[in-house]
Amino acid sequence: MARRRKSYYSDYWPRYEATRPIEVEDGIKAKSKRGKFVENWWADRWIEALKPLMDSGRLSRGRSYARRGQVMEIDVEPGHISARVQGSRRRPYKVQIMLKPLDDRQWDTVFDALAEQAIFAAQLLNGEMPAEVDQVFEAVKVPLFPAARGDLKTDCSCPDWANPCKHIAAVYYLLGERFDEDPFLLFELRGRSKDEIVAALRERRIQGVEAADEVPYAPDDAPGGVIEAVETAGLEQCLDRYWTLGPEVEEVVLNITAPKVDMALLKRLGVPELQGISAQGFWAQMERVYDGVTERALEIAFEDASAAEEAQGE
Amino acid sequence: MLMEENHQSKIIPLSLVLHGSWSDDGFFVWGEASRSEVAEPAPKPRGRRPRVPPHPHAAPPERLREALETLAPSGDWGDVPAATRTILLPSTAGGPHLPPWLVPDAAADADTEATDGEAELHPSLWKVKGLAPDILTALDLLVALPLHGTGARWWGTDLRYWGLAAKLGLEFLAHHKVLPGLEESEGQYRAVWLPVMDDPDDRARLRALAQAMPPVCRALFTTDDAQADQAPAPHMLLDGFIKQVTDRAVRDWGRSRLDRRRKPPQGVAGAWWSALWDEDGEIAVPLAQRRELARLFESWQQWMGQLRGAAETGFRLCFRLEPPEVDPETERVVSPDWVLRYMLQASDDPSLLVPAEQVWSARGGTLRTLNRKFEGAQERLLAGLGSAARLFPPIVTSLRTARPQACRLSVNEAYAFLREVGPLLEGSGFGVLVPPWWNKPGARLGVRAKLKAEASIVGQGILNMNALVAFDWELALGDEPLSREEFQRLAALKMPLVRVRGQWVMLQPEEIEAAIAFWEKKRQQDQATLRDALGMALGAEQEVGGLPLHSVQASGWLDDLLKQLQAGDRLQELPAPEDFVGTLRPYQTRGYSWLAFLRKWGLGACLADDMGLGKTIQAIALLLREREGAQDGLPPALVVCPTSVVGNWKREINRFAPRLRVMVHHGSDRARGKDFAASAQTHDVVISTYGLVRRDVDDMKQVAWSDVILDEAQNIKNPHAKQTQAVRGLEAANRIALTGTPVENRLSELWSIMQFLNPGFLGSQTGFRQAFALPIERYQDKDTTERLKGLVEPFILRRLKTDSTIIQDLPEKQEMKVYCDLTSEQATLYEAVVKESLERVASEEEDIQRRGVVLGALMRLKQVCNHPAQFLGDGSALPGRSGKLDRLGEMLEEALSVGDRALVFTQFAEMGHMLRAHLQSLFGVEVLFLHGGTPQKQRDRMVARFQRGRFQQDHDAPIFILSLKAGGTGLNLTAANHVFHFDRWWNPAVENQATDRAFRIGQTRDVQVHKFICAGTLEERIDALIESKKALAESVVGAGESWLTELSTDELRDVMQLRRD
Repeated sequence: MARRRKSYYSDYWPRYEATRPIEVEDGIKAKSKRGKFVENWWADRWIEALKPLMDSGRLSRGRSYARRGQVMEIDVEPGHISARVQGSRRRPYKVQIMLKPLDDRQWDTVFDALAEQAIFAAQLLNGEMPAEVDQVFEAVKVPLFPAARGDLKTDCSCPDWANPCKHIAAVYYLLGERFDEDPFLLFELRGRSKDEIVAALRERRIQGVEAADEVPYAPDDAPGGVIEAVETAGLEQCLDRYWTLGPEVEEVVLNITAPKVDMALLKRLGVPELQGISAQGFWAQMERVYDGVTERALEIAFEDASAAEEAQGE
Repeated sequence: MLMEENHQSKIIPLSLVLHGSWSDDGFFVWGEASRSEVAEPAPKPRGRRPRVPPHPHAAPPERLREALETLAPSGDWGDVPAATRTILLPSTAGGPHLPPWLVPDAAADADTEATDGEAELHPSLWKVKGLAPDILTALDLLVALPLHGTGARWWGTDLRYWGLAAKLGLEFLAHHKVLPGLEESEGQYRAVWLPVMDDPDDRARLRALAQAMPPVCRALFTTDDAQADQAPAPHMLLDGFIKQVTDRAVRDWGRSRLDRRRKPPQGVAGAWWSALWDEDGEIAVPLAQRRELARLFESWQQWMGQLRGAAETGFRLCFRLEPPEVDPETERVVSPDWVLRYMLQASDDPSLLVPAEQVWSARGGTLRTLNRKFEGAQERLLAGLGSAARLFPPIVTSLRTARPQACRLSVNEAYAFLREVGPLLEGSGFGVLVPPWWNKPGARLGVRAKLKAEASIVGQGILNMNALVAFDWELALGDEPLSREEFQRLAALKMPLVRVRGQWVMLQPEEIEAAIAFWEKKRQQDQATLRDALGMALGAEQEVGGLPLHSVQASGWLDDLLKQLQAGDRLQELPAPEDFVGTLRPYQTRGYSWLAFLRKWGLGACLADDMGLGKTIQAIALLLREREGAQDGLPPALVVCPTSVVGNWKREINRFAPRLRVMVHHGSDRARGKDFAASAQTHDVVISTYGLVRRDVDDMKQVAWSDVILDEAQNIKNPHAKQTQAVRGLEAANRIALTGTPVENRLSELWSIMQFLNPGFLGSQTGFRQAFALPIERYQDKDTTERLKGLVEPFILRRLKTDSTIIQDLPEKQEMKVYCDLTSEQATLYEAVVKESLERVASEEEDIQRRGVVLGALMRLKQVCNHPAQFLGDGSALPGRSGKLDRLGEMLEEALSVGDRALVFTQFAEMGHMLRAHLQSLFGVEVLFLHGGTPQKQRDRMVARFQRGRFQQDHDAPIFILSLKAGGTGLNLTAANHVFHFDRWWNPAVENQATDRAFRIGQTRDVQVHKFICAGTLEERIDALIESKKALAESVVGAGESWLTELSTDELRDVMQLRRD
């Protein structure tokens, strides 16, 4: 293949090619494409902890590395994260992030405090970081989130003199995104896995009784709203009952009324947090919409199109 | 009325069956029409035959529009575009297999396989033209369709199926089960309204609905090269349909509700929001915002992700609300707090509950109880609590402890839990247990009525329904009255839940307001007509002034009356009238006593016993009893019946109550004007027909009848018909309706009959339709059905031949003669044939020839008795020209209406063909016909089909016509419980053999045998002859009919001569 001629203008501009990273085919791409990187406060806290350690240029380059998928892999172990990030050199850089793990005694204190109130476990198991978690960790004088410069040890094999560099930042951002979904991961960094935490808390609930074999906790994942598949014969096998309604229609008992609880779904889910949507306005409009839909549905359901005609008689 | 037969039979005489189904291309309506309806025969394809031929019986689009405009006048069908689809249908070599009633049965092609309905079927593609209405137009039509019922015949099961699906969609919409959302397809996003069907009951109903889908609903394709195995799965079709309905409906109905003054959302979310209200839902964003749109989609997905149904892990968190503890001695509440207790509940056994304290003490996180293992029980409990706390903040407080077991609620929180939070938690997949009193009427403020019936109303024993009855109104909790002071004390507490006389009661602010208003308005005293009071006592009203009506109490004679009304036929039995000839069966005595009881109170009664139980006899006994008891004689009673049974009535009265003087008001020489009144006064009973009541209504109104008895009262099912109005206009002290159809299931008919019996009792027709007919017909609403039943049951006595108390009074095989009158056309033909035949017999001297002439004459007279069209052999129209045919139709209607199956024997193959065509179009069912020309293989199939019975609801063939010779022996047809002998074979042995097809080993029900006889004709004479010699008959008359030829000419004249009386 003939080499393409360079554009006439290309020499007029500084050449960025040298510092542009090599593209990675299936790197870990951040879900966030722009704006705010994470959703929840605890992930926010994580990200915020990095900010005072870096200049804003590196930080934002790190963020765009994370979004472009330059991070190739992340490996989380208690107290230690190792990752590979593709930079402008052929060989990916090695990134290490270390957090000081708690020792066993410290963990015991933390677990004791966590076990005192069921709300901690309830929220964690429900995918939320309890708001008062800081107080629990204060007791052991080790914060859950990195606070001071010394809490976080980082290292990268890139030639940048600054530490943390953009590669570290990229990994750091991606970790924030993971915490968003799984608050247990933060604990893991401090040295205890989710299973260990669940077991430890359980142990404390059943005082004096030793916890036996581990039962992994599986969160529900039953999706709502899809009609279950039913077994069907091919049409050619149904010729003798082609027009027949199945007896199951008797199970379909209808109840066309106004709802028992208004807007139950919205009350369950809350207003979606979508940028540009005001919760109050959305709620007010939906209230009107639901109202109107119910009214019209009941009207159609019980309207007697033939009533007028009937009254006229024959 | 949309669904009622009476209207429609006039509009569309079963020449069109409408179909429709959903596919990815939208809704499509088409129709099958009988040949005469398809205006032009499909043009012969020129050149090469098209790959998919046009459906030869598809109704043209303009015919569909016309039909739909009549049947569903609310839709704008004129504008609905025409469309073409390809459909896979079971077919024979002759074309798509049509419903039998659309196929005219010409004797010529009756023997071909195609029309006997038993030919081998194969799937084959056809092009159909039809209409493609938009989904909301289709919805209007679909919602109005009945699922079952006799009026359902013009609607294919496919349309009715989608009707049910549409109603379910409507329920989701009414219940706010829709959320705004996005749909992604290849990087493109659309704004959509999505139905949320995560409730276990919704899921079960949708699964059932998917399973019940008739195969034809999956057979619609847009392309010509469709294959049977490409048919979409039912759940996919249903899913698409429900989604489309909900999406279009919210767009259309919600848009106008938006508050225009509010600032619309901005940015990408704003584009999404506005696309939710557009026709196509396309989200218009500049290219630069595509990423933001993708992010919006993700956020939305997360939001929706909270909708997790109850996990399939075997158990779930369950909340039990417990009222405050009450000191049993002082009846004082110990602490004002309510308790919400946490437990685990097994998903498959809701009664298996494990309290939280037990869960906390489980070893190793695995809870074992009652041989069940709950793994991860503690974590499940904790996670559940964490998620529920977001919906109900009081839970949070309890989570501040290590092992929460319950939380305490204030009375207002408890009330909020009962009213709203409980259902929300249930919707989110949690178990919720509320105190049992919560759903009982005793826990609600309501109203109680006390009827104060004054003795003077009873007067001479006949009730005046317009008399006024005084009511005492009281506030009540369940059955307990609540004094004004008590109520005020409770209302002053301003608590939503209060304890009254040892039970918890909900006091909603709006109910307190209603109660105060009620008190001011009613001032405790009220009046109503006796008609309304009876209705109220029987449960017609549910609410008074916005408060539930808890109970109605009556005293004195009114209480007695109500109790007796509800007792049905368990009343005190009356002795049979003295002059009654014969014996009443025990249930007939009860029925006649019941009629007498209602008559005593001046209430109209509907005797709706099954066919064959002797409704006529019970009515005759009543007429006789009245006249025996009357001191100075009664005015005459009027019996109104179909023409076909006028003779039967007269015969029955003469037989059982010869004392009664009967006058038949029928025929062209009937008395008119003053003569009629004068003549009627000299008789006890006047028998006439519906047609004549309409015509001679002015004459009939001159007489103040003692009774008006309507036989086959379904004849007044159309409230607007002239004959109905004429009948209702007659003056009568007592009204009785007799019918063998299940009148309680045919609501328009029920109203019309009740309006005749007890005018005004069921309210206006429009009101009745809104309150009862529509919810029951469209939605099979159980509560409404029960309420209506309670209201009309006292006035309807319906006993089935299968009832255990009836069956013991009946013989296993019940033979009845059915006397039919000749129409005047038949009578004229009959006399002409008699005259001509006798002349020929007299002139024949040769024995053999004379014999031939006699047999020929007999044959022709039988043909005349059957039907003029059979005698003339001219293929002329059938209805209204033969007494037998009309009677057969009436009796079969009754039989089919209760799910019975019938054999019809005739000795004439041509009559069989005529019957088949007639009955098919009359009832819209396939009628089997077995005759000498039917090949063995088909015979077997027909027998199997008939015996298979009703499990095949839509392809059922409940009527089997057999030629006496071909079908009289060897077959086993025990599925039938009626045997009709349409014409007689003058040999009892042959008839009995035929009857035994149904009455054989394997028969589990009683069999009724109906032998049709034309009154006054040779049929009646010969029948009498056989009866008189029954013992001899079999030996004397042998197997044939030849013994008749041995009669002398005078004897023959005597046998043949038509006797009119």
